[in-house]
Amino acid sequence: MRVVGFSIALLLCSALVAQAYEDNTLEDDDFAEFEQFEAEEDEPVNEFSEDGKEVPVQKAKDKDFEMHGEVEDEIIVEDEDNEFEHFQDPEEFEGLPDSAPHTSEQPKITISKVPITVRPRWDAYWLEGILCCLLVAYALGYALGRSKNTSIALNFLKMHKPLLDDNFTLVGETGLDVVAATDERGWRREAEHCFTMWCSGRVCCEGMLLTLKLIKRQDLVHVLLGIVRPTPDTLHIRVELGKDDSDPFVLCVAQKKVATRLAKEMQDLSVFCPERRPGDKHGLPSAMSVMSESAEATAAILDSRVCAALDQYHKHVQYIHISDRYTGPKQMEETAQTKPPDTERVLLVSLALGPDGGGDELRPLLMLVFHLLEKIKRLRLSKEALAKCEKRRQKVAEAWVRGAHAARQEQAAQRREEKRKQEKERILAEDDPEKQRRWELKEQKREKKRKTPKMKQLKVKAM
Amino acid sequence: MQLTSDPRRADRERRYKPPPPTSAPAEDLTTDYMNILSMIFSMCGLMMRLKWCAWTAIFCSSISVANARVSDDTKQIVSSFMLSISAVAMSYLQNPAPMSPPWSALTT
Repeated sequence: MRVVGFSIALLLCSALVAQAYEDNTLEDDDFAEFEQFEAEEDEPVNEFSEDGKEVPVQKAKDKDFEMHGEVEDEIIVEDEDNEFEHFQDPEEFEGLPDSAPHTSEQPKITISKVPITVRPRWDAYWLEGILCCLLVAYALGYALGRSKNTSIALNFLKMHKPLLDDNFTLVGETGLDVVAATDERGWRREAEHCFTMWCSGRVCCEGMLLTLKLIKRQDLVHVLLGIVRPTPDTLHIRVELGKDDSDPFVLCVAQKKVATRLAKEMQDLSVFCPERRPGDKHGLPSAMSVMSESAEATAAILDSRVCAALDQYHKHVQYIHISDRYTGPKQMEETAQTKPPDTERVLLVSLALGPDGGGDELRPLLMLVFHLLEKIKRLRLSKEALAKCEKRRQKVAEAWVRGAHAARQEQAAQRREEKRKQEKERILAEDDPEKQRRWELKEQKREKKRKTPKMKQLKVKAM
Repeated sequence: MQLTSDPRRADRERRYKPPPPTSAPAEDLTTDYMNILSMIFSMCGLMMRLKWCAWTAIFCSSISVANARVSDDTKQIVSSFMLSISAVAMSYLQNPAPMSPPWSALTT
């Protein structure tokens, strides 16, 4: 049974394939236009006129059968190609007059004028050429900028790694994407313009994260923008202080412009250091500003050595930020917080490097950072100053709890309102007026109930 | 400014822990913006057959690649780059005519 079914299926498939092939040959025929002329040529042969009337082909066929019906030996096997061959055979039509319209003249072939499609020349693609050149220039800029940034990072290692090695037991990282000169440990590549290095194993701190943020030399667009508004290569130093490594205070020494930005952006500075004082009041260059929570801490930190170093290298120091309540930039108000933000004890320093990654000027600044670390560790605020600072922190914590409570209440009220709105919509969607009336009454009752206690309180007061 | 004693302490060695995202400085979003722009321009180039859109998409994705961080999703960046290239290829396969500069419309 299966065999029969399979054979039928195979037969059908082959028939379909054959038909498709025929169709394809018809479609693919490039000389299909000329078939029309051939058909026209054939037509007069097919037309047999007797007194001007057309004789159908079937009649001729019948006649042919009548004439040759007796001759059984001559069996004509008709195939598709010679099916109508007998029409051209003059012996087939012996009784008929010889006036069959036989056109001997060639049909006129008119060649229509087709517009010659000219392929556009290569120089027409000049705009594409320019764009391709720009792409190639960008790729070249990428390769050059990347290698330049890598060489700056390597140069930094070569110049300052001995100092870091003298201060930390662990300097740099190992791994696949590490930029290092000779030994294994070095910068970790975060991006083509950003390298980080973790140093740890030192007194006065838990660890130090160096982030070398270079100009995006790999991005040609950024390089061109840099011509208009130049930005320097920067080194961000983030020292994580231990729990006992510093007293609670916030202090920031920054260049004036940077100080304005930090005061706006940083949560701890805006809360604990509302006042911004010019640097010359603390023996610093006038280009710098000081934001401090405690005058005592400021005086202790900005000693003569620090002031002298800042005086000499103030162009390279963007900011020095010491904080025991560092939470980073201000959070957006839309994100309602359920728990107080995590605070950190940190020393943040941002240094602007000289052209092409800087040179020897960085060494004294790194020494300054280590000096500050030791200073912070040794610093002990007086009882009064400490009490003031603690009180301020307590106040801030209370204010935060109050704010969070208010925010939670507001959220709850908002949720209730939304719920009521949904219920109202649901009731209004229903067709039952009785139900709607009942709901309205219920709402009125609830509103009344909400207002009554206030009235009661007033009454009690009046009595 | 010389340091006197050896400050190194092996017992205070800590493993690197990336700073919390809230306290980290503002992240550079150029890659994300360029990625999105590249995709938008690619789609415009493919669907509206605008060649300049397709070319802009290629440049946007190139900037995105150049600014990408190691931690960024490579698949997304590569896919946007491939999409922009295919936008250019498709627009020239559909219509091999050269692109006309924007000022040619003004002059004619």
